[in-house]
Amino acid sequence: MQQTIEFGPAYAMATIDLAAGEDVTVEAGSMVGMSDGLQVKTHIGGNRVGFFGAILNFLGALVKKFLGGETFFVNTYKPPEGQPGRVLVAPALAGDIIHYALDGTRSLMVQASSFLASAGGVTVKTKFGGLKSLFSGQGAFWLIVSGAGDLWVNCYGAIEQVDVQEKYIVDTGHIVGFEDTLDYQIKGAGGLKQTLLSGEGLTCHFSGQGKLYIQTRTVGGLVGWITPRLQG
Amino acid sequence: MRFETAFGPGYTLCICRLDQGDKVVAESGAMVTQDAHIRMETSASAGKGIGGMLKGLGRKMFLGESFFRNTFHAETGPGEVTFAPKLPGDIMVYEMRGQDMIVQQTSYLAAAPTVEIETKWGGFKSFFGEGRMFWIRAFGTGPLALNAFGAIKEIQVDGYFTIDTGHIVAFEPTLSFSIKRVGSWFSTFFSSEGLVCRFAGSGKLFIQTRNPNEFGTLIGSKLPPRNG
Repeated sequence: MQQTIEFGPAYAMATIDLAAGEDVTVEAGSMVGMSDGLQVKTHIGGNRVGFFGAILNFLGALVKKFLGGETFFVNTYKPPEGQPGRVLVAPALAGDIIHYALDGTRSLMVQASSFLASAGGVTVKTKFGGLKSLFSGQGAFWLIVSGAGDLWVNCYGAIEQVDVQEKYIVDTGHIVGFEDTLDYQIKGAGGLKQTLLSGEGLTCHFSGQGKLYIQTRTVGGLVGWITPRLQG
Repeated sequence: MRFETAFGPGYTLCICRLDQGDKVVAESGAMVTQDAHIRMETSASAGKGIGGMLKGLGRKMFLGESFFRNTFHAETGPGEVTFAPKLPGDIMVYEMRGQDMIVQQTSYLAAAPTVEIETKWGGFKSFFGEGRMFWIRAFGTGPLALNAFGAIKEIQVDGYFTIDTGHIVAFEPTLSFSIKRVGSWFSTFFSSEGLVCRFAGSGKLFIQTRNPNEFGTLIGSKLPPRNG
């Protein structure tokens, strides 16, 4: 697998070149273009196997769809037998893409709406972020991405990598993903009054050591800005 | 006449420097600035005379298609006029040398008057893609400025390449194409990929790195419902 990311940070697009036998799984709707003859398989995001696993995946997807507004399906693109292939992927919003190589030793927690694509031996599990996360202004679901392989995440705006050494606080809407060596706790910006009045909403308090990726804009912020300006 | 661009790829502006007597034609509503030597003339792109204007008006009302293009004439001396599209993104200037170019209509920004536009191009009759898409055929000689949502990537096709219809800016008609579903019917229905265009042959294809309809759908789904 070879990959390049162009046109960042505002309008990033990733070009993924697959060798014979490799495939890539892409968030539904994010494929921009592809070489000829790729086999496309649509399936529900989630990695549980077997009959009951499939049912659980489906129920999970339904819950995600209605609570979190995230996409239900992913597509796997596979070049024809014995041939290489190319897939271009880009998200819907303006912003950057980062490629993260997982080596199998640590997993990454990713905001569900930030998932763009994965390849190799990467497994993706869905985790409900708890009731608080429903009010976080981002999706209510996290993805736990583990295994060894490649992961592409997209963000709204630019992406900043923070090497957390001890403690770090981030607005939940700005989190793209973080390594699981970090512990986290979601809190209000202060007391109840502060949470309601400061406009800061919920914050995520990280501790430990690991990488944290944040986006410089939030979708919730954009929508919150436009909504009161719409004509009735 | 010279076309230049500035501030790309995020918020590109197209700058047209005209010699005295030169004209440039642009999508209505695209003009940002014009200097004292420039005079604007409006014309309907649906055809000449009253009939053309009525036809154009009908299209505007029923299809939401903009049909007016304005001509900027450097009448009294050399002048400068600038244009910008509505969405953020890049602008490319393509030098027409007698060949054709098929352009996604909302990507048309401006051109020399020697670049002719055929709006009733029928090649994509069944090509509705996601949302409503219209295609125009540009031919003739001179600069043609096209705008995109996001950055523009040029792809030299030799053989076959498939592009999501919402990402196409323009392509050279030396490429033939067919509209396809992605995978099976099941995939089309659930994959959110809509329709794709499979290009064949040899030629240049220009794509935009963001899909306006996909963006609209995403933001639209988070906005309160429209009343009435």
